[in-house]
Amino acid sequence: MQIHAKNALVDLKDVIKYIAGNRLAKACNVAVDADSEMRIECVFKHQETASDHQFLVDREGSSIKVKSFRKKGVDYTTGDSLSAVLAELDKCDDATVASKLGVPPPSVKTAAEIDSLVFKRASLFIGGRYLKLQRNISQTPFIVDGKRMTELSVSEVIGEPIKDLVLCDSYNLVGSGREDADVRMLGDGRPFYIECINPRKTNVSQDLIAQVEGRLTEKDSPVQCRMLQIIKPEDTRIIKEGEENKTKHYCALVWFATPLSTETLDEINRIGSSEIVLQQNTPIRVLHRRSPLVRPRKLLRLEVAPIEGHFYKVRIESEAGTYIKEFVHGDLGRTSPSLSSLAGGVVADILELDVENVSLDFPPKI
Amino acid sequence: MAISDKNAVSITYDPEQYSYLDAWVSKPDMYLGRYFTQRLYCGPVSTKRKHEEATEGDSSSESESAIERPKEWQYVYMAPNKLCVIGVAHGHPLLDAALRKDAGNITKIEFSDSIKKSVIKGKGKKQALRLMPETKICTIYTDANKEYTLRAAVKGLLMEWNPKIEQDPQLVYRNPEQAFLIIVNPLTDDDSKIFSECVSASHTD
Repeated sequence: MQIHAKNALVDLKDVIKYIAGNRLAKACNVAVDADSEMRIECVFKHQETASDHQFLVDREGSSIKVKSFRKKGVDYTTGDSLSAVLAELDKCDDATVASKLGVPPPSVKTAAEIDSLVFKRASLFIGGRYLKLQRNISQTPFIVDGKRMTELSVSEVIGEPIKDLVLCDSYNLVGSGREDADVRMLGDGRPFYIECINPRKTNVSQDLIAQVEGRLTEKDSPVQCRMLQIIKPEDTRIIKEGEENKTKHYCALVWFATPLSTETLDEINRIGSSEIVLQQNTPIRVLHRRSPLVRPRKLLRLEVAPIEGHFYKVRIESEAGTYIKEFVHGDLGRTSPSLSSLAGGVVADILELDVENVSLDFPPKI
Repeated sequence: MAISDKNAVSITYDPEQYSYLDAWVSKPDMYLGRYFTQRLYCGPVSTKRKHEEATEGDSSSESESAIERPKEWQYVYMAPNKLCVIGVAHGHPLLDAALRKDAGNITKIEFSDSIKKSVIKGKGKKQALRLMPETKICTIYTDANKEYTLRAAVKGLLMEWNPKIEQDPQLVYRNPEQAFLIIVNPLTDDDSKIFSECVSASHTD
């Protein structure tokens, strides 16, 4: 007799879904619809067979790695997911499975119980473009060791009024890329969407949504939005795709240790009028969470204009994923060329940075 | 095909609020203070001289010359994410104005075998080279027949070493800022543990 988990004829989950779903539909006089907005999540538990898979975890050379940890005062154990268990079952020889489980497995004495039953509305997506007109505002709440690092976050300023409107449990803001907390987002703003989890009201009119936008603008909020509207779930894909492909426009205030001579300034602008390819080692400031790599990045355009004395206004158009701050000071020689090296090795530091423009066609016209 | 001018005029900056930068003009490296917490490390002095190798064994004369030897300062720059950049400090005999002549000019810089062979993949965790503050990381040779041993200065994992400085040892004089040796991940958030072997940057001023 052969036991093949991969070719399991019927997934137990589907059986329960169809049977229980149909009974519930009849009892409540509704229809079962896979695309429905209303979702029911049901978790069953069965103490009697809960550790049946343990022999797969314990056996020598098992690929199942169980980890236990504690997060926010709650203990979690992960690693023995359905897919991990099935994968290991496939690797296990039939004789072992037969001896540990029994073929056929013994009949159970207790019934399964419902562990949790959660009713949820499918998420509502609201998209637009956000502007950040002041510095020290993070895109999403930035909390380290229980302390907030910035007073405001883009997601809260826009998300809270939306939450009040659609009465959702919580929300997540996803932007097409992001800028550091100390960098402003100007121009037409950065495309984003907010996913509203389990909204109670989904038939919100466009007028009410436009009011959220209007109120922020009226009171000169440091975070504002444009083109705010309900979007289709499929439209959210554009946001992530755009992040990799689109070029960005920046403007910065740069200080040079020695004011640049006219020749140097002209030379930098001449070089900057055509494409410059940078080799950027992973910046030191993110090296703890990103792989050490050298990434080639293109600067499509570089313009340097004097303001006064040591201060210059620098405008850059660059490929997505370029580290602008590191391009200015060179990150201890790890970004090459840098504005500092182009100026002949003069120390350059970036004091202020603004994103002038994110060119992505989003949200779709209403 | 200049960058679109739609937004060009609207962004203005006010240099007036940066008048404190006047202090930077005479010491341009001060900008590093914005990005790093700066400390100094002084390792055990290099006791080997090339031509003295054969005669070592007389411990009393060795400790006498160790006392005379000037301190070999290295800088430790810690980024907000706790990663530490290690390099040769201005107070080191190789760079110090008063001591340079004696030290000689750098002819060669060579990283230790363990560093060169180390595996730095992904986020540098399990396989990376473990370092202690006194671990020797590289040797600098000069034309005055001197050898200086540089140390890790900080306990942790090796994240990166700087091959540019082996290929171009003169970088240490030309561009000391780019002449860092290694970057270490101390694996702790506790500054006092990270800087356990270091002193504050004003020590040698």
